[in-house]
Amino acid sequence: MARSLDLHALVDGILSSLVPQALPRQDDHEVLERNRAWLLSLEDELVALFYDTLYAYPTTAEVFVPGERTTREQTLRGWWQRTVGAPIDMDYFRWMGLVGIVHIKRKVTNPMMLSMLQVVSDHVVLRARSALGDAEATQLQQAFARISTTVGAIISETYTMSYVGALEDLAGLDPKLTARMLELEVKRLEQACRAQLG
Amino acid sequence: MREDALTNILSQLNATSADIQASAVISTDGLMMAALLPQGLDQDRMGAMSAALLSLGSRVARELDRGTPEQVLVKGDNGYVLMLQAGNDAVLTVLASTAAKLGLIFLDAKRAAAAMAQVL
Repeated sequence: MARSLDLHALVDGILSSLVPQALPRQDDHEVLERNRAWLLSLEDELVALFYDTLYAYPTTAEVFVPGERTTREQTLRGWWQRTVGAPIDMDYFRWMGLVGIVHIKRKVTNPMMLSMLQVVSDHVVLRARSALGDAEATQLQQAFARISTTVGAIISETYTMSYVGALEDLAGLDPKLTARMLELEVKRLEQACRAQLG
Repeated sequence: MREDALTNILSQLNATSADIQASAVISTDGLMMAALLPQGLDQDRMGAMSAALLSLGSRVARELDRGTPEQVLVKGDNGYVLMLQAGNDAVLTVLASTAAKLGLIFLDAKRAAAAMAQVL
């Protein structure tokens, strides 16, 4: 882990940056708990859907090495069981912070991650409409929206901060110097990109 | 006052050799503290890059067990860029021509860096 990165402090900071209305609420926890057994029963079909989707799309299929699907499926099973099988708490959010770091290693980009959160969420809500009825499905949809937003924010921000932190460590850069270099370069990038837009 | 003292040291350094074309003292987080630079040179970028290069040089020296780094030298077609630590929190950057006698420049720059460390 980067010298300049404290995972606990980073995840705390990300959560405090999210407006409270976007964070999972008590009724989100309750709807998950009420439907825990049903949600856990979706594991096999979700794992199949998840990896069928990734392997079917050339851009995402490229992140895998031959023969690793079984191992990756086990990892996803663990994620699903933890996500719907126990309360969403700080331990869970910190684990999601670690996922952001692992994604750098695995070359899983944030757009890939965010799009798959959407695929999972859509499938759960679709299945809930037929299995649990509209009212319960709507509550689950709202709960998954808030959880996905929070998890997506944590993973993407941890990804970015770890990426910068690793480069900082390698080059021996003071974080204040990195911030200054970014400030200078971003001005130039902004001008160049505005010119591209015309 | 401190900027004046630093500028004075830079003036003395630049006067030691006609081959010294410019010099500046920069905080280790990349902020220009005093400079005698030619027009058209972006001081902000030079400050950030000097601090970054000295940081990288220090990191390389530590990683490869070369001890405490004294200086970082870049040689280009049009001359040299020399960076030295000036105390704990600053970097002295010197631009010199291709004709510069490096031994003398190193000596003078080292003296200037020590004088700056006293001011800082």
